Formats: sequence, structure tokens, C-alpha cells
Amino acid sequence: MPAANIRWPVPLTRLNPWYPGQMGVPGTDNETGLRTHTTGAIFYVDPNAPGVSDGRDGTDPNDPLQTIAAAITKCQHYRGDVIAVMMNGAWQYAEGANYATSIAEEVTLNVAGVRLIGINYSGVGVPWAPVTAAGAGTCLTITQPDCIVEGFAFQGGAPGGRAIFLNWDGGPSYGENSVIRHCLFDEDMDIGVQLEFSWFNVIHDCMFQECDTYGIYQAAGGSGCAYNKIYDNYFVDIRGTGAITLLSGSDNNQIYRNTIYNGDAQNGAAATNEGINITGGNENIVHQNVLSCLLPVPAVGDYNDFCTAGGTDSWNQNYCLNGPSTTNPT
Amino acid sequence: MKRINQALYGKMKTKLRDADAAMALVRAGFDTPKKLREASDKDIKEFVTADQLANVRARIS
Repeated sequence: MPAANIRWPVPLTRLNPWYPGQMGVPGTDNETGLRTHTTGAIFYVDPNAPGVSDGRDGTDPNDPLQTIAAAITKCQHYRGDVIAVMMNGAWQYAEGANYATSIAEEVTLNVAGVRLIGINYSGVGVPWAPVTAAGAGTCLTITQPDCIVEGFAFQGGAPGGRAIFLNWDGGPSYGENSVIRHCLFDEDMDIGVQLEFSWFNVIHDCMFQECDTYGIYQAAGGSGCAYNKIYDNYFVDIRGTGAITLLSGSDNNQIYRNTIYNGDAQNGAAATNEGINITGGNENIVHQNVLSCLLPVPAVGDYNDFCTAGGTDSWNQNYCLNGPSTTNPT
Repeated sequence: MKRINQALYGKMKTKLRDADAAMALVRAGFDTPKKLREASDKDIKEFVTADQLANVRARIS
């Protein structure tokens, strides 16, 4: 006969994961769905929603938040949060009658591991405009690592300014390890993406259309950028300055399969460093980019004029108007 | 011993390919390439060897 007060081993009760999902949003009950991992929250942003306000929790797509800034305050480091920004009709050639309020904010993404997605119908992206006059603003400053930003069209608003700034200063700002993809940076922007001592980022499948100064940029006098992958981007007529300009000793970057069209270089006119300029860098590998310039000989507007290599770079098979390159640009 | 920012040390170590020099320089406050570039040889020599200084100047120009 068993003794009294014996604790019999009772099978553990396990609750099956239950994801009730969100009404009207198919797939949100899928445990392997949009979230980076299962504890992450999705915050919806739509400044065009009727009666929209930031005074709500933002997880119901029927009651979205008004601003990305408010959504960021609700995110937590590495929880796997997603900020889903709904499309708007503010694109410069759109009808402009419905849903015409653009994203018009200058925010700091200071939460690690956040995925910031523009939910857009097309390759252009969700319009996002800077607000500070005289080109002094930055739409999105990233100061924490491991973020993804995709699906936005940076245009309009107070023209000028910078679309995205990844800033790593080892103090309070650690903006790196991030992905910027499927974005448009148009002629209203001065700078598309700027990096400062920011490493291990991926920038791909973006279009930089006639940005006024730089497409992808790391400033002279700074701390460089390294180990970034910049590929499959399209640059159109970033004239007078540079499509991809990485200065201050930018090292070990991979720059490949980008297409850079420049009307001056194409026409044999001067286009000094308006293509890819990695002056002062080392050990970058730059390959299979399509460049609208001639191979060296003409001097003005040619491969050596259009581009500058770092001291120990490897530039392989970049395709010029009259054939693939076989040297680093000088 | 002054504590250093491990993230800064890690980046500087990778940049210089020299852990000892990175440790010494970050401890001394030269914790970004920008600061190293702006510092004089005289300022840096106090914390690293001549060879290490040459390496710094070669890698951060």
C-alpha cells in the first residue's frame, strides 16, 4: 500500500501555441507568419485612416497609429517587432485625391531588431517626406543594430535633406547590421543613405533617382564604413557629386551588380568621381557593376575619371560602354 | 584599470588588425578612426610602439 503524501508524477500540461490572429487580416493566425519570431508585435501605421490617432496600442489594423515615431516607442529590443506602414497616395504622379497624406516625419529608430516595412502596391514604395526646411532634416536615423527598412519612397515634403542615416559612434548610437532594401530615393533628397562608422549593412534593390548630392555616402573626415554589401541598386544621374561615395578609409565592402547611369559620362563629358569613389579605402571588392562610361583612354568622363579605387581594392569585370574593365580605376 | 567600451575595442581591433594597439588606443580615448586621424603622431606615440603607429597610419589615412 503506498505511503501517504506521495506526490505522483503527473504529466506536464502543455498548452498548444494559440495564435488567434487578427480579424480581417488573413494569415495573422499563422504562427510562422510575418513576425520575426513568435513574441513580436505588429504595429500598424496609417496617417490616412479615418479618425487616426497615436493614442491607441497600434496592434489592430482597423485602428492604426498615426506616426512611425509612436510605433517605435512601443517596440522592444529584439522582440521581433514589425512596424507595418500602409500605402498612401502622396506619390507625385498619383491621383492625389485619396489617402494623400504622406508619411512626413523625421524619426530615430532606436530599438534593435525592428522591421520597418512599407506595405506598398508597386516598386516605388510608401511615400515618406522630410519635414525640416532647407534640407536640414533626416527622415530616418538608425541608432540600433539589426533593423530592416524596406518599401519606402523618400520624396516630397521639404525638399533636400537625408533619407536614411546609419550612425554608429560607440556611445549611445549603434546603427549597423541593418538591411535597407526595396526603397526609392528621388530627386527631392540630397542624400539617399549615409553611413558613419557603420558596418555589416546590406543595401540592395534600391533606386537612387537624381539625388542632389549622394546616393550612398560616407563623409570625409569621419570613421569610414566597412563590411557592407551594396548590390543590385540602380543609380540615375547623381551628378556633380557621387552615386556611391565612401570616404574616410572605408574598407572591406562588397559593391557589385549595381547599375550606374550618368548622362555626363555617357556623353564623354567630365564626371569626376560621380560613379564609385572609395578614396582612402582598402580591400574593397567592386565587381560586375554596369557603368555608363568608356574604358580608360578618353580621360574625360572615362572609367578612371568616373571612379576612384581604394589603395588595395580589387575591381573586377565592371562593365563599361565598350567592354569590361581589367584594372582598378586610377 | 579604466574600463573600455567593448564594442569600440572590437571595432578598433578589427580595423587595425592589432589587438594590443587597439586596447591601448581605446583606453587612451582614441576610439574611432576619426579621432586617430585627427590626432598627431606625438599624441599617439605615447600609447603604442613605433611599429604600431606606422600600422595605424597605414590603415587609417
